Amino acid sequence: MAMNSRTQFPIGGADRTGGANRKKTRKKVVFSIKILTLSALTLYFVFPVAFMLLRSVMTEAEASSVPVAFFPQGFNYQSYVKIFREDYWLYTLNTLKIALINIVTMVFTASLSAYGFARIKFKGRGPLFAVMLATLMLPAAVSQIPLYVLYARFGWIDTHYPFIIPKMFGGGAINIFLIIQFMRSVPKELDEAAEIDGAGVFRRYVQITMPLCVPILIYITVNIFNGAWGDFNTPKVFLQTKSKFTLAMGIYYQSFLGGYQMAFSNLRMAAGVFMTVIPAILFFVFQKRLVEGINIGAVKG
Amino acid sequence: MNIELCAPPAREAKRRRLTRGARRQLAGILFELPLILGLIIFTAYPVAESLRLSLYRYNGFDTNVFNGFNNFKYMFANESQVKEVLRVFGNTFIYCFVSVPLSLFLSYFLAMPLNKNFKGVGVFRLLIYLPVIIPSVVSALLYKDIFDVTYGVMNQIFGGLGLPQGTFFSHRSTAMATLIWAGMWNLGGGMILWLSAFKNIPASLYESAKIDGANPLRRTLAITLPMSTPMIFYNLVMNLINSMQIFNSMMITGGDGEGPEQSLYFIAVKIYNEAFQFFRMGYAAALSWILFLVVGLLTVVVFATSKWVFYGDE
Repeated sequence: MAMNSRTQFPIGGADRTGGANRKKTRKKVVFSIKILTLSALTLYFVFPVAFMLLRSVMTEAEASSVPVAFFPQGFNYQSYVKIFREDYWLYTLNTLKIALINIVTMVFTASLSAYGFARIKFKGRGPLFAVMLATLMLPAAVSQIPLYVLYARFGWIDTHYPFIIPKMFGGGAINIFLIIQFMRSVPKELDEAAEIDGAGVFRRYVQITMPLCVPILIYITVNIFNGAWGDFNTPKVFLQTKSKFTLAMGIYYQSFLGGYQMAFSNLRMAAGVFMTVIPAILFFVFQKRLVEGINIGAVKG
Repeated sequence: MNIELCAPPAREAKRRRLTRGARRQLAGILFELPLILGLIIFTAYPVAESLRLSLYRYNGFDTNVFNGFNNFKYMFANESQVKEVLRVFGNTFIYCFVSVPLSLFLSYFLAMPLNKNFKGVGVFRLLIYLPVIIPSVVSALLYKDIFDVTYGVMNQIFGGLGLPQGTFFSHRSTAMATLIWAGMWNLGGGMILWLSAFKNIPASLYESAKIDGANPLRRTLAITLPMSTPMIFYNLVMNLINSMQIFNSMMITGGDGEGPEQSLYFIAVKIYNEAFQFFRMGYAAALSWILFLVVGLLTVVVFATSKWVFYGDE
């Protein structure tokens, strides 16, 4: 409301007649108040991250004394050493394996089907697209139980197949949708020109359209990675043996089921920091692409 | 006369188009083949099978008896079960209908001051976004530790501010509120969405509104919000569907996943428990179908009342 008075004189010469200085100082004050408020807010949002980092370098004695200090007495990396003694390297390998396979297969099949929807006019395209979108509102819990029974018959329980095989088919409705949205901004003419030149449809998909879709493919790649990396529901249902665990399941196990190993919050937080490192790197490297991707999916969609 | 003249070329074109059309049809189906197979094997089959299972008494191994509508009757007629089902759905609804609109609302006020270009605005945005980068399983653990009654840091802060000590996740009266509060550390996600939405609004709209003498409030209500409705709508739908299925709460509650006096017991966790802890898979399937219907209904309602969404030129 403070800015109200300004807009009441939209064209007038009020600026030139001495109000200028007062206005400038007022603007400065308003700006400083804003910066101060923003800084306080930012502090609040940085707080959990700082908490996690600081807690992770505490000793066990520090982390279990009452009251626990916010700042550690020194830099102690023992908790990181310890989590790796607890099979963490194995959980990491398992999770990386799943995530990387998912990236390859999901990007391929999602882009394949997105190309089909966006560039090939075949009969049944509309209904198929509608069905695909409708699966977005299907709760995972509905298919979980029959899939468990089915996978049990395949001998897939306590293996990584449930994480890998289903993802090879379609690659996720939301990813397909995002690529289609992006392809709208990719000129069709290139594709059509290539068709006249006699390029087959698969070649047009690989050589003409996909290279232009790299920005959105990066976005979904990061999303697929983060999805696989942080997935807790699937391992909770399908995994039983410790050696098969993913990181999310490993942390859960160590915190609640395995009991003592992670009883200390410094260990939990070290595991948390470790699990955040790759997503954080991905975010910092691909920041621009990610914001762009969000824009395509959620804002223009 | 005319017709006859036109006929031969038209027929020829038609024939050529037909073969090309058939080729195109084949290509389309081949490109969609993985998706079609996936939809059949990993969606349609389990959904149908789940409906069938909901009519059976099935423990996942040997017992597999047709049970009629007894699973549903049990859900709605058995006294303790009714209570529990109502509680898990109640919890899920509260979580869903408070946290989703609240975060959309609050993140707007976070995005507003950051929508201008001044020195350091990028740093503010980045730092506010930071908690969103943390995988949700990790943030659940993190919240659990921050809000731990004895070892947690929040009670120290409360003490320092002269506030009474909180019970947070450890008491039924505060557990849900704490969970929703903790979730608000992810407002940075909503902030980015609002900022993107703001960016897509042509500046000319604001300029002409200014010339017409519209004040900032008026400009917000008449330009910013209507132009952001596609974003609001998309996020409302996606976040409602997702938060109806909240499952990571198990990272906070541990063990049975219920929380103090079932105050953090959500429907997806109950379905998991019924199916994989108590091996009442038929009953769990019935519950999952109820969840499906609720989510479906919710989506339909949101879409049916989406007249307020403004799609510009479309």
